[in-house]
Amino acid sequence: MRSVREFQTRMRDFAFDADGRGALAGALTDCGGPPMADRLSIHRNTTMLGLAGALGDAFPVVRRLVGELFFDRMAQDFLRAHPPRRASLLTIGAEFPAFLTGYAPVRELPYLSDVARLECAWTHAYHAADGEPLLPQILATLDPERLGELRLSPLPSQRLLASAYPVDAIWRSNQDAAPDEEIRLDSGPVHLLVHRPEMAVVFHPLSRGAFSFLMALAAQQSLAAAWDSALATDPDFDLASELAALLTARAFGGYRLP
Amino acid sequence: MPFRTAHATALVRPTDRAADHPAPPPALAGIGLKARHAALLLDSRPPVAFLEIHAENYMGAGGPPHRWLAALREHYPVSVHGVGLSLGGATPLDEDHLEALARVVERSRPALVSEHLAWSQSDGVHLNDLLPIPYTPATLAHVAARIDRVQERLRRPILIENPSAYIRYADSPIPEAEFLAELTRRTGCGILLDVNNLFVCAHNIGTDPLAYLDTLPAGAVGEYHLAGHHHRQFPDGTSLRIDDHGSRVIPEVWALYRAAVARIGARPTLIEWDSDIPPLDVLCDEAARADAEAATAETAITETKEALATPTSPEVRDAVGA
Repeated sequence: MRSVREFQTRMRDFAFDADGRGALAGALTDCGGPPMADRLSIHRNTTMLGLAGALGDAFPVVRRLVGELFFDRMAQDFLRAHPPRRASLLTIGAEFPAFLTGYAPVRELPYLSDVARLECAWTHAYHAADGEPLLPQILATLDPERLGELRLSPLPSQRLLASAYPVDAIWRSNQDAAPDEEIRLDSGPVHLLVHRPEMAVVFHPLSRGAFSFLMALAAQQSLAAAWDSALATDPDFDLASELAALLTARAFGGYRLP
Repeated sequence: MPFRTAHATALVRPTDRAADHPAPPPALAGIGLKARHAALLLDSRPPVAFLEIHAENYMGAGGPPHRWLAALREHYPVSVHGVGLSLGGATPLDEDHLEALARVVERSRPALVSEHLAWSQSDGVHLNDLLPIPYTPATLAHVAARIDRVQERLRRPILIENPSAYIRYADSPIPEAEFLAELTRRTGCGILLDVNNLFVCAHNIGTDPLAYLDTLPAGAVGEYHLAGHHHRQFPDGTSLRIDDHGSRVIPEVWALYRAAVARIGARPTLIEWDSDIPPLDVLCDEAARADAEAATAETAITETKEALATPTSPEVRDAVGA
């Protein structure tokens, strides 16, 4: 088995890096027809083009923004740096947003990495465990004296994302049948709740205060502590209306009153 | 070793199956379940015998893929086809992946479960490819032990699929069909015969497809796969057949399918189509064609047997060389 293991290691290196064909040939035998190099190239293409395609399917907006040809080259650079460690490709490219931040050829698209983070959040939400959203009426059933101690937990699908760019508008305008939407890159930061209350993934824009509020709740802080956290970032944060809006958006998956 | 003693033919006989999973689908054609077809499948419910899923596409915790599958399971038997276990890999079996596969199997309660005689992972890096292994006594013991582990974890026998190949190993003394036959004897697993892969191997590396069919233990074959492939021509007149699952089954593969059904018998048969996915009705059309081809092959065998059993037809005996 040792020689098999060595061959597989060399084949893996070849599949991601194109060199090392010579080291493989010794274990193989000629069977007529096309030369060994053409035969090995099929395996290399299956790995690199197949994975680049899977990455593009996971980041369709990034792919559309840079174009398919450029995306394929960028994807191959990414895959060489971060070969997939899982056989299931549902979550391929978790490191892709960070990779884009440092990828010189896209330096002139500073929002690209955040768009990729939004696509990661979308994928996470799509495949996350299903949750039963809390109904807005729940608050009326609780002891008002103890609401400060309330722990509200997020849906399993929840991701919170802040960006200096209007990444939600960029995402929407790059969907098929996109609505006409003017995008100004200098329109200011966005704070987003990405989640899936039912079967569709939803982006919900948040105020800066609501973002801090949800961050604190996701860290299992009490309602009172999360309120403090929201007020610290946004002195105008109005708990009653923000909480009502979040419940209407079905932002929570459960609660606990310790 | 619960499966070591199981007789291989038990795999295709519903009456012998373990009580806790559904019977294999009928010996008719099914199709791969594609996300884009799910709604139409549920609405129109075409008469295909089963739906096959790639296990790796259902390894998420929840969401629409599971919702669709649960709805479609009410109407069709499901076959779970794994593409990522790397049974032929020389580095340790990915136990996390096996756990994920077990969850998919528990959740979808499939009628069939299959994986590949191939490797796809090396030291934790996933190649997204199914590469052949050399067939030696050492790799036989290695793969058999891994199949034992998988069957033990899934608590059911699985089918093992023959790979497509573009390369031939210098040191691979055991013919592939014998290797598969021995795996069924050692582990109680069954065989998923991919007829297109066999045809592709015949062209690319000189496998003799009819000798291959004669060597496979017919009773252990539990499913067929059929697919299209790409015929890539080189300037010097040579060519390779690339197993891309992106087109209709070609006439030569239909002929090999008839030969397989004639020797082995009809089995659940999947139309595989994974790139350039066509409209649902094209898949259903190919499935209907597979049923017709299998029926033709079975009729030919039946007629030949009847003719041979009839003492008054010496012409037929001469014609078939009996």
